[in-house]
Amino acid sequence: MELLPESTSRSEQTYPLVFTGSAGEYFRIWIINVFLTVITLGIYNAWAKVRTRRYFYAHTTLDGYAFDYLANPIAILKGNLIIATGLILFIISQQYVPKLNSVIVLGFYAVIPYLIYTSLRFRAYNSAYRHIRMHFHGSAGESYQIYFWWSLLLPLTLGLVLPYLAYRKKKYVFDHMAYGTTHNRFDGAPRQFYTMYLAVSCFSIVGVVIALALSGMVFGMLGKGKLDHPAAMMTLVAAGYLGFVFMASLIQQYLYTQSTNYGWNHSTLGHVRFTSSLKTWPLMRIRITNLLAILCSLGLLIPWARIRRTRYLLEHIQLMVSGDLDHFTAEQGADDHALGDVSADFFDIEVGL
Amino acid sequence: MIAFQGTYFDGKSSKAHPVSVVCSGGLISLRNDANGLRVDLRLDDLSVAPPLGRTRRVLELPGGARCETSDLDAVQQLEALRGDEHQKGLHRVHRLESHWHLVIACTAGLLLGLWGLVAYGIPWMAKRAAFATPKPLIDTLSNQSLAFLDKQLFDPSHLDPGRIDRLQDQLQNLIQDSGSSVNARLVFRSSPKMGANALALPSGLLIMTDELVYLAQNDRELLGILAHELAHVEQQHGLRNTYQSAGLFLLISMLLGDVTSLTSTAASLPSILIETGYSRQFETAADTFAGRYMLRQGWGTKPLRDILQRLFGERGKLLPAFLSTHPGTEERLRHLEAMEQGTGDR
Repeated sequence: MELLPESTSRSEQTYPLVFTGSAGEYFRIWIINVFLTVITLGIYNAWAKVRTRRYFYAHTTLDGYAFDYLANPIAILKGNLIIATGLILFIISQQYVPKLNSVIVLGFYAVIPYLIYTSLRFRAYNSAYRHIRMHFHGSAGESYQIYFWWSLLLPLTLGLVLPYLAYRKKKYVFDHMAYGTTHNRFDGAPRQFYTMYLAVSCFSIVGVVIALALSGMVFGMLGKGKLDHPAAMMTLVAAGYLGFVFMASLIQQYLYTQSTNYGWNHSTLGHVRFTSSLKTWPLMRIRITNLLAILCSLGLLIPWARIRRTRYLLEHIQLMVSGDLDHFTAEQGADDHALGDVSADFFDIEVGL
Repeated sequence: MIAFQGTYFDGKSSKAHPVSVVCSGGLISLRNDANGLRVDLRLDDLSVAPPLGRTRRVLELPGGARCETSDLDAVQQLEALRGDEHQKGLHRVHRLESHWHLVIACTAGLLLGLWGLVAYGIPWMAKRAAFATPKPLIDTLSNQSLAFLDKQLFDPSHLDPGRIDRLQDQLQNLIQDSGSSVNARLVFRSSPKMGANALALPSGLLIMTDELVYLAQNDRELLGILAHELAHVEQQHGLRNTYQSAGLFLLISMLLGDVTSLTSTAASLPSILIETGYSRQFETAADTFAGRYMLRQGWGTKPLRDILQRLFGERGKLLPAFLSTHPGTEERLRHLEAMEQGTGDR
């Protein structure tokens, strides 16, 4: 191994993440995945998942080298089978033994923290760059602290601990990630999260006031008689529903961009720092146009939509490196099972970075 | 001889070593003249990761190192040279993905496959599963359901015991006449919440509400309804419906495995439409069963039509036909009338 000249390690260099995936190429992979999954009655789903992730990772490059996804499809297949069995039992019991429902829901809440923990481990362990794997060193205990105990406090404190919870979730992910033997450090504080949620509360109050004023105006203009007509009422309800979905989605995107930016911007991986500059409006625009495109194309534009969103997300992350990226070393670690990862996907649990 | 440029990673550090790769005579050598790196190995010791789109290829070397290259043609030649392809199945998948005409053929196959699954595959599997479900399990589940309904919706029946006995006798005749092997049991419940209704649980438990008995003008009408419910038990419609919903749910979540949650709301609409389609098929089958019984008795299907008309006149037309689980009343009446005139499917 050569030693680097002192001068280069002082100056900081910027490396952007580059995403080179194309909608046309991914469309073919996606449709074949769906086709094979259907004709194998779901068994191929595990391979499809690995192929999709491999595709996205391989098209994400940093300093000219691509990322790699290394999961074993058999591990994912086992996870899928467990989920499918559980689901069938749940549907049957829901129909015939409604008494059991609350027990099942409680049991589900009790295992979620563990699933999140194994999901993070599995995903990290199977992600590699320059043939060095990533690792997640968080503990199951901390996951239970955050996703079980602090979450229980939510209703008791009328949601006041929500910003703190959001902070702990980000900290859990960012503070325990490692690339090879190099651990990531997260030096964020809860304060920023309180500001974020305060902004959201103000925005919601303003939104509700505007909605009330608007509906008051509409009622006033139409007069009482016209609203008896079911069509007029339906239109109003639909407009109100769309407005609500739009607001909720906007808040969701805002929280996502702000907390993701914060997570990256307060991370240090050895001599590497990150900048993330996601913005709410562009992401919102992508989400709305994606949704319309998917609906109008009866799902055929799903690949295009995914590529578009991924490109936006990845190309707004940069690495600031003092020196170079040549000196990370690999750590030996054991393989993990995929149940957590599979169920996190299935139940749409947000665990990503 | 095959020669190409690649990048060597030793798997221990993140340092990338640009290498020139030369393969000849069953031997392969990776070389970087600048830092003196040199790796020689036999072609057979190499493991080549399957291709994926136009992404770079990976050659896995013994000892945990690897060589990556974007020279896709060279790797293909290398594989041809070795004769055997590692992970043959995934190479075939890659071939499918690489040609637009194959992709289009698979899309057509996919649509056909989906239609086949929804129209035949799922119903067939659900039927198999329903008849394979152990009897004690069915009994337990049905008793649980009844206990739940008793708590939530039902009160004890206020019917005259004489009336109940007469209906019980007639049900036994009905069972014997239709040659059914079902061990059916009829119970009556009063239910102001549910109104006039009858339902069948998979174990053969038939429940009829007092309100329905009051609505009927004669026993033939009620027997028409009972025959309809008996068909549900005989053909295990209840369990099959449950299994079909589960299968459909699995299929849809499989298809949309990687779609965001906002769009999956839109995806629940087709699933509702398909499910209502399934249960309407069962209703039609049960009507056919009831119609046949009534025709054998020489009553004609009129009594069943009369009570259906009264029943749905009472509830009103709340939902358009494509959304309702029972076929539109008009459609059912037409079906029963056609049976009487001998033009319906018997």
